[in-house]
Amino acid sequence: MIKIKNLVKRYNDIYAINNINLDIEDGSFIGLVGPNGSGKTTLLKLIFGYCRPTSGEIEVDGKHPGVEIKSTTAFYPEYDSTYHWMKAKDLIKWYSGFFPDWNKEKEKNLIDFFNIPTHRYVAHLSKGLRAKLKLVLTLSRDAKIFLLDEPLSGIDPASRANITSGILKAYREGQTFIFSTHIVTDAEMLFERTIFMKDGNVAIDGESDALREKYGKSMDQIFKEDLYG
Amino acid sequence: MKIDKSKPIWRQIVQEIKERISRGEIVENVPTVRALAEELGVNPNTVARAYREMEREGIVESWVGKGTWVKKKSRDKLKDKMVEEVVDSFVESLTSMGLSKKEIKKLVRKIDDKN
Repeated sequence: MIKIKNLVKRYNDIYAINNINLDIEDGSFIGLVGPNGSGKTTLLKLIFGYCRPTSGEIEVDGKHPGVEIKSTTAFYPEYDSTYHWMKAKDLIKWYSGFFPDWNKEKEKNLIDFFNIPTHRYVAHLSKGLRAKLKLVLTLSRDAKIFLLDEPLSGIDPASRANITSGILKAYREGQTFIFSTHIVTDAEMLFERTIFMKDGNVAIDGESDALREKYGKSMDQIFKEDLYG
Repeated sequence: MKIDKSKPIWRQIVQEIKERISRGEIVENVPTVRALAEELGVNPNTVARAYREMEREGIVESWVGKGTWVKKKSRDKLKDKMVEEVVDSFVESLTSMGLSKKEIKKLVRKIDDKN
């Protein structure tokens, strides 16, 4: 359970997060939807503990973000992997050593599913393959909470379905996934609940199928027509 | 199955499974939640919700460890209901074209003679 109370994050005079209150139940798969600059990445970083709130509170299973939750939370960063000088297989082996919850079978299944040539240097992989490699590093853990920051960003349209299928395959009931994106249509069927962000705040939040019923629209249409149109 | 993302997905799954049962494509075992979720590319919890609804309607039953099964009488019941719906819409469209019930009956009898 993630509890967020009166959360504010200010960078100088800009409010990246402007008073957010959220409860996220265990086992929910959440789409965190919004344009660039709406506060999605900042919110994920605050939950994980990469940065500290200006004011307000976050509790993850009763613990504070940071060191206390690293063993149960996996984070997929948007920035490109920096380990270009390693071979993919060596990077995976080295990285897996940090996590007691590493699941070798999931690692193998994901490598096969994404068709990653692990004998190659990271620097020699395409951008799409590097994103997939990053997903292997994130999703091979048996973590309780997965925070995925823009896993579809920079992925060409033809490969997006492959990425979302891989994420769906790795997802296990009972795990909590928060998947941030500004590309909604390719991922919205994964989201049980969709949280739309605008200017550092939650604009619309609800069970995706209930929102479909209420608006008679897809999450993508709500995003484009009702919030930012 | 083509999913319309502007309508609740769990309802479309219920409809799809009912159709598969009435067409005889699903006889006993309903696909597992995970298998159907991966086939359709939807969240497994959405599929589970559709199955719960079908269980509530008495179409299927679930047993822990055994999966979800179609109840014996479900197929006939679903088929009857779908036939009824097709007949209703058939009559309705002919009525809207100005045909009377009597004329429609006559037409149906004609089909019978042809075969």
